[in-house]
Amino acid sequence: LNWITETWHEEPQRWEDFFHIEVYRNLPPVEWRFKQKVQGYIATVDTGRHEALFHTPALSIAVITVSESEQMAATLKRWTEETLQSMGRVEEGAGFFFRSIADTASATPEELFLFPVWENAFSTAKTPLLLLEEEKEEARTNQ
Amino acid sequence: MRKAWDKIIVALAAFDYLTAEQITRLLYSASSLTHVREQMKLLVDNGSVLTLGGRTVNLPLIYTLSSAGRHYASLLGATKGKRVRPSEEKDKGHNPYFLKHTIAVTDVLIAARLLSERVPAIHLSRMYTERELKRRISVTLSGKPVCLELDN
Repeated sequence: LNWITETWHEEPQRWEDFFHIEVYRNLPPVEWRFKQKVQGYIATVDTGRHEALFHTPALSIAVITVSESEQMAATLKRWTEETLQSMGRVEEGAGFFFRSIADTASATPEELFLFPVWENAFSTAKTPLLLLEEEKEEARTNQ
Repeated sequence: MRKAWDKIIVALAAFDYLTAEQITRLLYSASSLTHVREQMKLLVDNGSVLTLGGRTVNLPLIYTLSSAGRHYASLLGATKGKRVRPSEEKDKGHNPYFLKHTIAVTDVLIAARLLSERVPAIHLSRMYTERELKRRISVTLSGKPVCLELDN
């Protein structure tokens, strides 16, 4: 759970992000099991279970595949999109982030969280996992 | 217990499983790896810490708190109250898939902790590990109860 504060507005802005981190190595999980997990994440929010357990409405899912290739991340992203589509919940795609990384030990914290190397479900635009306020403003201006 | 060990015990209570390299990255300068390995050997010898992994499964040693270590961590205000079964820990020690996965997940959590220390605008206020979340989140899908097994 991250609190992000910026102070360049007169009134400092503060917001929270809550991430479940999913790490997959070498081989993708079983398709039905992964899709069930995606459904489960949506259900934990819909039923209030997530907020009751973690005391925050914020929830994003960060899926990291440890691999030289981007293929597994692309597969998990596609399975997520198929699941959300079948649930009629495409708008939840913005809460799912995907990336692959060759080695988790040698990546710097900035590379992992602040570099624009993540993709949301239903999008091919690269984004950081944590967006600082200035970047949010920039993204809004560029739209 | 040596005062210098407190931060290692607290880190093990927070992250559950750490290699010497991860402890170094989290708490020391990169040149301190040998020192950290020496401290970990002493902590294993005095019964505060257990080891998993190692050469038999072609992995680095992975350290976790023993019951005595968890008791000491609780005196430091650092335990999370989750009961740990020694037999389960032993089983995990022989499961390279679980251990490699745990090392990778812990790398990401360490990065989150270090990021919050380096970037003043970001504050990591809570962190849950796989052990804490195990069997805690169940939902009903298509009329059936399903337990979500989460990484973190």
